[in-house]
Amino acid sequence: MTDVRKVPLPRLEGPVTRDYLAGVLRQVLAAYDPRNPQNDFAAGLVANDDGSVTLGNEAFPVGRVASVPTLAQHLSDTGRAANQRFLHPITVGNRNSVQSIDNVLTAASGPTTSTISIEAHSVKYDFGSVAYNSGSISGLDTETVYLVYGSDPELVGGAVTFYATEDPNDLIATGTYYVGSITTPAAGTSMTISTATSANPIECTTSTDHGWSTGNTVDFASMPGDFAVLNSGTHVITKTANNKFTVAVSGIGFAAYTSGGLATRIVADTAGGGGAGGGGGGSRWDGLVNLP
Amino acid sequence: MTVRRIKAGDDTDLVWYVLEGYVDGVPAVTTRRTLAVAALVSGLIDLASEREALELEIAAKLVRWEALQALDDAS
Repeated sequence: MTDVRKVPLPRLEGPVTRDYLAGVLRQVLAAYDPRNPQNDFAAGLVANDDGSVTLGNEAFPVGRVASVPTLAQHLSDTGRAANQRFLHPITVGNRNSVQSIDNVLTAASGPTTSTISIEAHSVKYDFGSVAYNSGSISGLDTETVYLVYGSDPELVGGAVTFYATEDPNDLIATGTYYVGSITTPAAGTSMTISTATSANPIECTTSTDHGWSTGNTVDFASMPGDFAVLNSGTHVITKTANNKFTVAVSGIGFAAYTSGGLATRIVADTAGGGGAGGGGGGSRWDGLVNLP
Repeated sequence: MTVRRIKAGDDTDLVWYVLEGYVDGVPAVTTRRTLAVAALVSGLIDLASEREALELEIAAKLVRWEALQALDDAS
């Protein structure tokens, strides 16, 4: 740092002139002008032409030994931790976030594929709660362990896209929210519908004994004519005989059933969430096999 | 109600086909349905059926939301 008391003065011969004083003043001011790249503290602060300033490696916050650029390396431009190393350490009960409900995930299987449903829930962090809307993932394999996650880098919540993977490595990408794990159940059994009554409720007759029970849920497909209304959504059945069941839908006025309808029992399973937000917490796993 | 496709803008779109249904002004009913592209291409699941199911789901959510608003207005 320039000691202005020791700034060498140019040799003067004659009276003090305006130019002489101007020269001395410029020399002193240049040392303190942040716009001068060679100013006395340029290693810490330089003013830019647009009015901003750049803090260099010699800019230190009060009471700190690490410079501002060094500290800033640990933060992204959005203020988030640059990587998990700089996240807040695990706090209570080996978790740093907690889901609001236990059974966040459910899975159901049709004749060939499975669907995982994610219930609306919230995740509580030290800064507050993040609420997520419900969602689902369809077209999955049956009898498979899936890890369910969403992408929410800013922890905003709301409607996020949920994904399912069998590879734990897919969970460690920045901004990934791990919801939990679940095993999709075996494929549901499918029965041909021989007849269906135009009555209230509609009674279906299967080609062979269905083996189902009252309260089971079925999914219809290829129901013909007026009975096509059953092809949407799922229906809870009431067993009326080993090869018959009714659904709570009125068939009054329906044209007579022809043929070709199918009903598949949906096999459901549930699993807890056990996931976590950013960083650790939630359920552990030791390799692909011992998943919770 | 509007149903649209949501793209991630990366290779994820090659694996997953994401539908989002929403109602303007009611973010609570916004719902996304993730569909495996392989299952769609194989015919194991049907895009039209999934879209219809999503519409039914959002319609049901909207009914519940409107009931909550009516309760708020009545209290």
